[in-house]
Amino acid sequence: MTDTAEIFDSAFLRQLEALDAALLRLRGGVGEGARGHGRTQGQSEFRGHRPYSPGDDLRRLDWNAYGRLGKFFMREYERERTEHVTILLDCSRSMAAGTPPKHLLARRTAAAFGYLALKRGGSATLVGQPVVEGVARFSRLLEQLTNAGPVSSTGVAGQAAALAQHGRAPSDLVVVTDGLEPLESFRPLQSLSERRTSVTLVQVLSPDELDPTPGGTIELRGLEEGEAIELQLDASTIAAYRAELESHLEALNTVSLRNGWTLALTDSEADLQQLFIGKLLPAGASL
Amino acid sequence: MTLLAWPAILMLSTAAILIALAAWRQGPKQREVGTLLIWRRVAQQHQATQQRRRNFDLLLWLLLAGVVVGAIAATRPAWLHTQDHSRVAVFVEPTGPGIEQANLDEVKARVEADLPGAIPTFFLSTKDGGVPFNAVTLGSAGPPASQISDFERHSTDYDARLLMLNQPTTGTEDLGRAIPRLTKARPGVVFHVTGSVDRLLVQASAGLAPSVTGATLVSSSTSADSVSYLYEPTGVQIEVSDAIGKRTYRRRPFGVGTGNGWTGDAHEALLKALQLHEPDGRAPQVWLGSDELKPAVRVSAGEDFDLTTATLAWDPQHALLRDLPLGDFDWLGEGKLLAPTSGVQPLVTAVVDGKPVGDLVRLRDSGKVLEFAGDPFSRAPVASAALLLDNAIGVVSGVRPSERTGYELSEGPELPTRRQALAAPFEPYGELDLSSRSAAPLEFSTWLCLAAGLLLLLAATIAARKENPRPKPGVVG
Repeated sequence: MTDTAEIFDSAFLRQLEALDAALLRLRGGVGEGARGHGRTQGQSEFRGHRPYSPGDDLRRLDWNAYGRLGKFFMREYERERTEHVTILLDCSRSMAAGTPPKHLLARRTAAAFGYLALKRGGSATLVGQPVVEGVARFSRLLEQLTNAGPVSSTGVAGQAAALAQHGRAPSDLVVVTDGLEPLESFRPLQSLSERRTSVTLVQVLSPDELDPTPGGTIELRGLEEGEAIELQLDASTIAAYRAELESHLEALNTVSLRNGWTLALTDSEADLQQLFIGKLLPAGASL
Repeated sequence: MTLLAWPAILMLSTAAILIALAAWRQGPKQREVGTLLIWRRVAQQHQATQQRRRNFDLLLWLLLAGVVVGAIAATRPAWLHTQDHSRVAVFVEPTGPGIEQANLDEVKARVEADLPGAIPTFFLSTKDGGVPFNAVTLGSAGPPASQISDFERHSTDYDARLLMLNQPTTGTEDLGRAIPRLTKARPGVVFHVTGSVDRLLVQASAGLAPSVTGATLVSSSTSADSVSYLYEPTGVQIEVSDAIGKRTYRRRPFGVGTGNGWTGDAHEALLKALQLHEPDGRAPQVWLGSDELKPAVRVSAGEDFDLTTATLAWDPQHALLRDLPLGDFDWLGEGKLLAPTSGVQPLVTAVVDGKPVGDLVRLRDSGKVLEFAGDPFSRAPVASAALLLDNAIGVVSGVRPSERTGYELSEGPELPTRRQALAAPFEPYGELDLSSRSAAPLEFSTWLCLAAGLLLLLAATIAARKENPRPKPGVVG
């Protein structure tokens, strides 16, 4: 079992804080109503209270309730209630490939989405796992992500299909995957989109998947399939691979545009700042 | 080993480079990728090309060819090529000075006529001088047995041997076919000339007496194959002519040098009488009158002394005085005497009142210097003086001029050996079997080595130019 600290070390946590601060600066303000967009933008009527948790923003602490009841309660607004992010993490074996492995950045990306939601008073759900509310429970999300290693044979399609069959479609769905699946695998996501789910698709590919190196006759062993094929990786083969990959990415991009998804492609060497600020934010992701 | 062997071996050494390259190229040729989704599409496109490449890997085929050719070369294969013509080694024994050229041409013609279809290789002695045709020169110029032994060593690879000998020779029966060197005997070929002051012996092959001038035939005797002629010389020069040519012989000269005290007419007359001459560029055998050089006969070496009452004492058996008419010499008349001293051998001593007072003749310097107190050679009769000088020179040099032996060849060809002079036809013996032509092995492993080296070098070049498929450490696609 992988230790949480191995994937989400202290440096990563500092990156999250720095990312949060940077996003707030880019949004031009701090506090309620100053962030978010899309369907939830402007919806800030008071919804009620919830118990205080360590780490909660003290500015939203209800001192009146404390004076009356002697306990700390946090004020909740309607918009925050709707800021619930559902995270679909591709746990297929293919995510183990790459240097660094794709699943590392994928899990950190998922954690970052969850952190940002929790930090803004929202909640986060890793598909198949209990919902996590309050930034104080962020560690629980990290544990869930730690256990979500790239060992499953179920990719995006299976998890999305399960979500689609669920009674209530998630409002915000973040999908972190390498996207190296047949386009048919993304149909469950399309059905979710038709049910007004906002889909953000983060595609993580390793540098060698984006730009493979030539090298004579090679036996390529697919982690996903558990099979191998032999290819002469000369210049012409590499060129053909690039063309095929570009075709696949282009098709996925077309699907994304057609369904209103936010799509960001990154290599597994990128850091969070590059991904969120450099790619997701310009692409219109709800951050 | 031919000249190609070393280049071939050097080129074959590139196999080590190739092996190193192959080892370097070894390693994991597997690469893990996340999914084969994209790669399978590529594989479908490249399937035909991949199949072709799999079937023809140039490097693999070159390596295989190089190893196979090298392995074949290591077995040293050879064609057994049967010769179209027999190779016959022909030994030609020299027949003596002065007649080689014509005879060798005749020998060549004979062999080529007698051995049609054969390729003769002639082996000649270096003593034959210039080789008139393409032939192997034997290093040995010694006796026939030595030359034949040398020929045997040089002719082991030939199909047959033919020996052209002056005479039948023991030990050559199993060597090959022996035939006569000459088709007919040569009469009157002189092979020996020797003589003394009054005798000259000439030996020649039978059949024709040699022509001799300067000597008178005394007698002759005939053996089985030669004739000996005894002559009495009439002069210092003798000419002997035979079938080979004319030779001039002179008595061997006796060179003397002259110095102080040996300049008178009487002295010159003595030199002529004994046929003594100044040497022609050679060191004198004796010095006459010299005070320093040895061996020497010195005269007038004594001091004035009153010898009027003196008598003589001598050793009559000494070589100087043997058979010498002492009465012809006035030993005391000159009044010269050599003072007694140690380390000398008195030969003629002056005695006064029964006591020796000095020497008239004595030997010194270990017998190399003969000293005379006076000059008996100029005062005695010429015949006696000549006899004294002949004895004196004999004492200091060991050889009396009158006893010097032999004549020396001064002009004309050298004498052949007895074997050469008596060369004659004989019944051929031995075998010359040309029916079993040998199969000459034509080894070509060197060429195979060269080919293997070239193949491996080419493979090494291709391998070096290929990109290394070994993945970088830690890179997993």
